Amino acid sequence: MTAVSVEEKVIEKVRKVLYKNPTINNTFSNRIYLQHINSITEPKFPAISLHIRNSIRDFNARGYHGISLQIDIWVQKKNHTFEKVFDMADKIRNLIDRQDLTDTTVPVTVALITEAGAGPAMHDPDPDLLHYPLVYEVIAL
Amino acid sequence: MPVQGTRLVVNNIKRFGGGFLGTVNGTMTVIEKMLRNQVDENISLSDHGPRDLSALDNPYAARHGSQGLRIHNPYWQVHEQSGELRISIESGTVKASLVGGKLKASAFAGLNEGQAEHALYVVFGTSRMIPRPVLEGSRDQVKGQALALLNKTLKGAVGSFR
Repeated sequence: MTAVSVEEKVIEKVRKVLYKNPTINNTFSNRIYLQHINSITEPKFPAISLHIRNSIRDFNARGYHGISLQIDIWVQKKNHTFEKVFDMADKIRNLIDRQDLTDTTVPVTVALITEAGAGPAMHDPDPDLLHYPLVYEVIAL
Repeated sequence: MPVQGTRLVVNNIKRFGGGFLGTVNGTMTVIEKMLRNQVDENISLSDHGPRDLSALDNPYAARHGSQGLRIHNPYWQVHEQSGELRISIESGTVKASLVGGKLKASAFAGLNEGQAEHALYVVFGTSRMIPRPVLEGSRDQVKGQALALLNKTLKGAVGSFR
């Protein structure tokens, strides 16, 4: 049996927080992917993807992981605007930026999660998507 | 009562005068160069040209997973092609100042997407290409050296500087 890494647990914890929110759920439903969208076979949109950019073990103290998490919003350009994308980004921000992620079903402690940057807003021409990344610095135990 | 915060910093500045701030700013300039050089190194791989990458089935494509084919380590390094990305590197420092009782100074390096629009797609990825966090990775690679330099150059000036 393969042990689940701290990074995977952090992604799962953040996914659950987002999934439980009615507004996020209404737009994205279960299309909150646990990998960058490019790794998903036939992804459906609109979608959110969660991706670990970087992870450092024993970050500042033994046992703590310093993780850089990228949350990407992907929506079809024909059905959405950047204003809507920014609204969604605000909702995500309110749910997780400097918040206490208290979901106890995933056995990982997120000591701190802070937004390190948002954007830029991008157009992905094939397949005609609006793309907006958010980067979070996470300290997890 | 121990002297803390603003008073500690102000007292040290008074003791060492402009030399202290000069030392801080000079150290930041050295760190800026470290960062810039590391970013440049990480975006100028030359072991594979465009044809090689094509022959390798385009290793950064989605079908190879979230970190691509890992033809090099770290996976997020970038091959130089037109040289646009290297030209777009910008860097600098923010001079030392007192903010809320703390001394703050910083050094930075980045890619100017006004000069190389594809920098955004390289760093954040697309629906078909993996993200490559080359700036964060470069920062993490020099972090140890930068901290060692800060400890070395500033330790003598301020006994309990952190």
